[in-house]
Amino acid sequence: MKKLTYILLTASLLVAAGCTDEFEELNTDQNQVTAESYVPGYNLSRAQIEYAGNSDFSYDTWRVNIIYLSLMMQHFSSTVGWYNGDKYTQSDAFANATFDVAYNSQVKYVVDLMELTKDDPLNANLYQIARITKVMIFHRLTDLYGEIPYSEAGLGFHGKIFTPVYDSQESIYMDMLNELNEAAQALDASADAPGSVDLMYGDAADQIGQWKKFAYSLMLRLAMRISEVDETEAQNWVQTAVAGGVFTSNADNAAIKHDAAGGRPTVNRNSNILFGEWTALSNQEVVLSKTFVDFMADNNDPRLEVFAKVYGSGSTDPADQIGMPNGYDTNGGEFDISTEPNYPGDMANYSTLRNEIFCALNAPTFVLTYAQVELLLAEAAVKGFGVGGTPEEHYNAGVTAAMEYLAMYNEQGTIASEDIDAYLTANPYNPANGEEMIGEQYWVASFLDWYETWANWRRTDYPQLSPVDYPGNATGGTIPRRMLYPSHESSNNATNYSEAISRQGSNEFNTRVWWDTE
Amino acid sequence: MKKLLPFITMMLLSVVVLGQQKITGTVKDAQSGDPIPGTNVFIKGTNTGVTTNLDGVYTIQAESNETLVFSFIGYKTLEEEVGSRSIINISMETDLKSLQEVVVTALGIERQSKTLGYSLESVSGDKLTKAREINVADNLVGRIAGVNSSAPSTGPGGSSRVTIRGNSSLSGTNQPLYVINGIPMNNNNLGSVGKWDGADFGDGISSINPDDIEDMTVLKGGAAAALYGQRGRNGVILITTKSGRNQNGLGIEFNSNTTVDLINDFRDFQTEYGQGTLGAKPADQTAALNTGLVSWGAPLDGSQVTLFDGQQHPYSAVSGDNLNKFYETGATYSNSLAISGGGETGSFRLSLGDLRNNSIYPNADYNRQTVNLDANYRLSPKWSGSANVYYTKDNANRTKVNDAPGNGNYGIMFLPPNVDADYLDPGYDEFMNEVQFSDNAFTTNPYFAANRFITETSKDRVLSVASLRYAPTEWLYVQARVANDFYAFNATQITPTGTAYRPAGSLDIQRTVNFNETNADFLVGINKDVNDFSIGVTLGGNLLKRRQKIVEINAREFAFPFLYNPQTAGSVGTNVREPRKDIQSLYGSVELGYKDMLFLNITDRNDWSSTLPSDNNSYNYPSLNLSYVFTESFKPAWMDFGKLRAGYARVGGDADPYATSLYYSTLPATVGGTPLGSIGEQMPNPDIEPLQVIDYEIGTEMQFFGNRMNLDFAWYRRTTLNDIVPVSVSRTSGYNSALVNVAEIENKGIELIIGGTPVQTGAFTWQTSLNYSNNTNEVIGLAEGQESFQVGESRNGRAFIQHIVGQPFAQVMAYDFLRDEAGNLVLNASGFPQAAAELTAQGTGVHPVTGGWSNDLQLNNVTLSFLIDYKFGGVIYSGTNAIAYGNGLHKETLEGRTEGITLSGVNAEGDAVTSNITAQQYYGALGNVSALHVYDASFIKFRSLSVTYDFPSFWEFEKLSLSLVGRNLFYIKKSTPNIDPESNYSSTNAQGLEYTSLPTTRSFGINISAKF
Repeated sequence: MKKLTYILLTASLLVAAGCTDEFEELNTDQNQVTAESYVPGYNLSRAQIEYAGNSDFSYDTWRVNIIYLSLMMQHFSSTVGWYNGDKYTQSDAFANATFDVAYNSQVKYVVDLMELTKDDPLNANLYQIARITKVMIFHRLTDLYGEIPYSEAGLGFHGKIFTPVYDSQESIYMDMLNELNEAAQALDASADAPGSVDLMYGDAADQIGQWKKFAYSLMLRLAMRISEVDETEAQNWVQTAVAGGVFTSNADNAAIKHDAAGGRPTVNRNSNILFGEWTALSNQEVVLSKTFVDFMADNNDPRLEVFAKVYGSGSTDPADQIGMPNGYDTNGGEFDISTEPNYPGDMANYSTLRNEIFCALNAPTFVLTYAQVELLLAEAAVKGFGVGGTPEEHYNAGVTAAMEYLAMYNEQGTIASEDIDAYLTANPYNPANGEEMIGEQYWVASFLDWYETWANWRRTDYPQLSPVDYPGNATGGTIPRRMLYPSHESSNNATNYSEAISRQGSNEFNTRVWWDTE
Repeated sequence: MKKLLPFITMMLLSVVVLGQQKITGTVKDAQSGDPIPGTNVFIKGTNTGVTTNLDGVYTIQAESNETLVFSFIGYKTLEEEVGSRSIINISMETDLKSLQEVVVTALGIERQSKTLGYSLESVSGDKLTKAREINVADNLVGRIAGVNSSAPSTGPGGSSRVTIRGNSSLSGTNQPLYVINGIPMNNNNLGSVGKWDGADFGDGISSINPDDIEDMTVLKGGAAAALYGQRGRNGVILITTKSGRNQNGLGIEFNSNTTVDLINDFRDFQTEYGQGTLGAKPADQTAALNTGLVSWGAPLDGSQVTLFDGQQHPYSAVSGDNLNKFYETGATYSNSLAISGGGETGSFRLSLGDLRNNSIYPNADYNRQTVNLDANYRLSPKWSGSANVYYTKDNANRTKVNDAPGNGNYGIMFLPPNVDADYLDPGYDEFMNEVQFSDNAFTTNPYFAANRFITETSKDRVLSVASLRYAPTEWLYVQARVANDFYAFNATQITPTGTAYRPAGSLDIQRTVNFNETNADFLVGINKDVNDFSIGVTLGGNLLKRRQKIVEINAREFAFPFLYNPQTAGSVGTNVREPRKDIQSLYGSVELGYKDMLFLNITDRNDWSSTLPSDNNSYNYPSLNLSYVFTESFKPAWMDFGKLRAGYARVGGDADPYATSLYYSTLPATVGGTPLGSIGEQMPNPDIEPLQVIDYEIGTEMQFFGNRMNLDFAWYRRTTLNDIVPVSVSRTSGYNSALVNVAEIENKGIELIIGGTPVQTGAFTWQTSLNYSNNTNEVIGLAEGQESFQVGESRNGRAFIQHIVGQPFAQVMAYDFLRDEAGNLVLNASGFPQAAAELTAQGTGVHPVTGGWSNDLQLNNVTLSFLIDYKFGGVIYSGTNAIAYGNGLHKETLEGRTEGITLSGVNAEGDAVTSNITAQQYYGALGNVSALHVYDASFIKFRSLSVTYDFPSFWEFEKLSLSLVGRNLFYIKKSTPNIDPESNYSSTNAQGLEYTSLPTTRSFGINISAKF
């Protein structure tokens, strides 16, 4: 029996002392890949689709782009209480949504992509595209919030930076402009073409050439953004951009591709909220604003029948269109919509957006358009930045492009060229109020991209929007100049967050960002 | 006819020495008069002994000057001088403090309690079965010093939260290891509630039927648990299920328990103003929908108003009874039947348990069936084997809690005073579409939520163990054992077709978890006595293999309404995870004893874990403890027993699987065939190191006045070093969290138990025990430069649970008023008060002080037992109160309704300003000032009461008793307005958040227990 004891003992010891050689394989996840087996380009597609709006039920698109900005910009109006932008009431959770999700879903991917490709000659162009995409992402983020983590952002894994510093908006802009310049110059037509992982120019015949144009066009937009606060820098960069080559037609438009089949992660984000998984239009949570409808109606704008239809009847006749003013509710009191002087008797008689044109689930998300480029050039020309051409030439090209590009949403959005000509003839560019006309056209041309609409409006203060003053608003009855930081930054990044607030001003709607001069 | 005995006893008995005088006798229970088989009878100072047979009869050879010692677990040891007697009959008294006897310690090693240099406490199964909880872990509340048990208010079959001596891990589990019959049981929380709406899917310990429990032993400190390795670092709860070992022939046991559960409504809301906004009652149906949960209307005047349903209803306070209308009377039926039998070579016990609960939440229920088979067999004098299989099947329909979507508890709680719950019933129309009562589609009609939403779980679990033991001599044994813990868990959550916020419905979760853990271990034990010394050596090894497969599916865009088959969905997401882990361990223990007085125990364990970097995956940790029975050398007359103990232990721990590399995947959709990349939200760490818990304790146990009074005192300090923590990092780093070895956290405290039998007359006995523990916790350090670590967030984003350096675990962090340096309110441009930009600590969400006072009063056949427990020092953020402020339901919002609220303060520029704003604006703004809604959660509660009548023996009944029971009866003291202080909705480390949970209940019932 002793023998048996020894056998048991020895066998058991062998089991326990066993070998740990297999531990490494055992601790490797079989359902995912590590960097060695990964396709870096999938980070580009992810960053781009997330820039178009968060894949989790259009989180930021709904909260910031639609609930706040579309209403503050008076393209839409709403009587629904939680559509806070209509009346400038405060919802921190909505106003911080872009900041809240952009770093995890956009910045991380583009920064990781840069890390994966920076020393890889086979991905030389992909690396430059990543740099440009990074600027595209931060351009929006800093415009919304002002000072933000930039230089140390997204480097949690690669740089072990858990609490990134907030950079001043000025330094962010200067670096972004430099990055665009370096990346545009480094793009090499003879090197790699990333192909379909690029949801913006993956289908273009000259993918690399398109990215070059996009980089310079984005540079133009950045440069004009700082034109009020630092005209010299702005002029230099505008000239660099023009010299490098900006968009020359709607075919150059930067737009992110969507896919209706993939559900939440891939559909057009605005469409998904307005007329998709959520139906803000059918619910009449948002309708077309009186400001927007009247602007087009007053000028016989042929775009009115493309944008607007009567909610109840479906009529697209411009004569039938009635925009709903901002600042009303349906609570039966002093601000009830039925007390509005031009109340059409029923909510259903107000105009709504033509979802059949703008809200397809596979509609593109426009990032930067030729129309915007021409209108920015028009303004640069007014300012005498030496961009070639007259303000009027650029204005006409911009308005024409803004009308023509609507067909890129849907054929029904096509506007006949004689209608465009008629509009320009009836509403000729007037140098006396050139900047205002340019600002108004930029406002219409950027419809659906309310991030950009709002940023350009804050800089130019055109069009001159009349704010509403509803009880309980957080701004004292003025249109907000900034969105709000998420509160978790005050706990997870406390020191840097406090320093940013002490430099920039308190975390509220009325605090202006650096380039937004009084 | 020899009864099969516990192994350890057998060894003592195997040597029988012939003596000069034959002595015989019967050993009986002093109270019942029943024979006690298996009693050890030995001659004092020798190894010579025998054991009583099934009839309690023994025969032994001894000399007249020798003394016989009679001992049996659970009875007081007796000594009798032989003298001239040849018949010595013994009546043994049950030992109230059975800790003086043999106890089961780590790895199932049985030791005499007095030899232990650490703290250990037991609860017998019968304390858990009368005024019972469905989750047996919830029954520990107030019972054991240093054990903090708290049940989240998520409904039957939900999880439990038990911690021993505080929380030692910032993010990992702080719950103890449950060991069922030697099988380490996985107690993973299968789904708990985070920031958004969600449901509690229960945990592992909820699988156990209390009727099967013989004994629960709590090993509190590291020294007790060091041999269990890292899983034992939060303490160990050993559960021994009943067996047939002490059964004389065939026995049948039956227990039936029926209780009804009634809701607690702690609300005290205003009933003067009705639905509406800006001081006006709703003008029409639209206005009523816009103000579905808003009570800022006009004074209630009894007039007729149009509500959300387009109908006219009186504008008067009718909603007072809404909770009782919506919630039902819950009922729990729990029945158990056990058959056991024993013979010369083996014994068995088979039990069947059936529990059915109808929740207070409409359409929610919980059912649990258990089967337990225990068998053991002696193959030969040297070989023996045993096996135990525990099978549990449970299924539940659960409620969502916390956020409003799909959570019926939300809407019903906040209905304006003039809205009767009946108006909302049944919550859907003829097409099964939700009838909204509010313009916010995400605030689900509570009846629709209860009637149409589906949250189902089911679980099949098998815990099995087989062991073989070989004892070639009386001083050596070898044991090999294989144990397996397997469960298959399914959860389905459905947002039904017709839901206002998602008319097409969705399959939110279809989760399948297959969990399998095998532990193969061996033990070699040597026990030798040499003169005054006793030596025990145990060596062992363990191989742990844990494999899991988790498959999750979600789906939308279904082809057919009301059918949620993913195959018919237009959009399907899947996620497959297969965490795998192996740990190999070797360990050993040496016990040295001197003269029944001084005992030293040294242990050491080394683990090799697969989850750590391969060059640093081995870690070793020792423990040492000492027990000194000082009454062996110095014994005052009034003291029966006294010992001092001291222990030191280190315990190591590893990481979760796959935490050392960055992994890439894709989203479950493509854009025209182009995949979209995906990187996890947690940063991995290729350099992670094992964590360490260092534990010291000293203590004393004493018994006085003829064992009428006992006292147990312990002081301990536990320090966690290098805790492996996914620290929450700024999201601007690209990630939500980073796995790091950073944290240092300390728990120190005291435990005190004073108990005894103050009254013991012929017919009347009063036994009482008071326990108190005070744990001081401090987070000493986090990652460099990091002052806080977030573990939870309230739904409204205004309160957070964070670990803050220099503060106790789980600080409730909230926003105070924004003030200038002089303390003036800073008003915004519209004259509103504002919340400060920075969070301030409001206190810990975990009570430092816990304890209870239990009593058993017995008069003849009637026993009255009650338990009062208390917790002090913790706080809770109440989302319910915050919402009630914003919605105008809170009584405090009555102030300023007519005249408005006048505020003076400064503006952003620092100039003095005054403003007058409406009450609606003011209290709405206060919803952001979350510090206002953090309350002291301390309480004293009359936890349980039972009155039991034990019928005198008659017919075939060996035992028959009937009890009337009540549980969670009432608070003697609480200070949380409108809510139950015990309404945390999570059993995770995010303690201190309340946000429209399921109401808590009080239960009344009847328990019948019979044995044939």
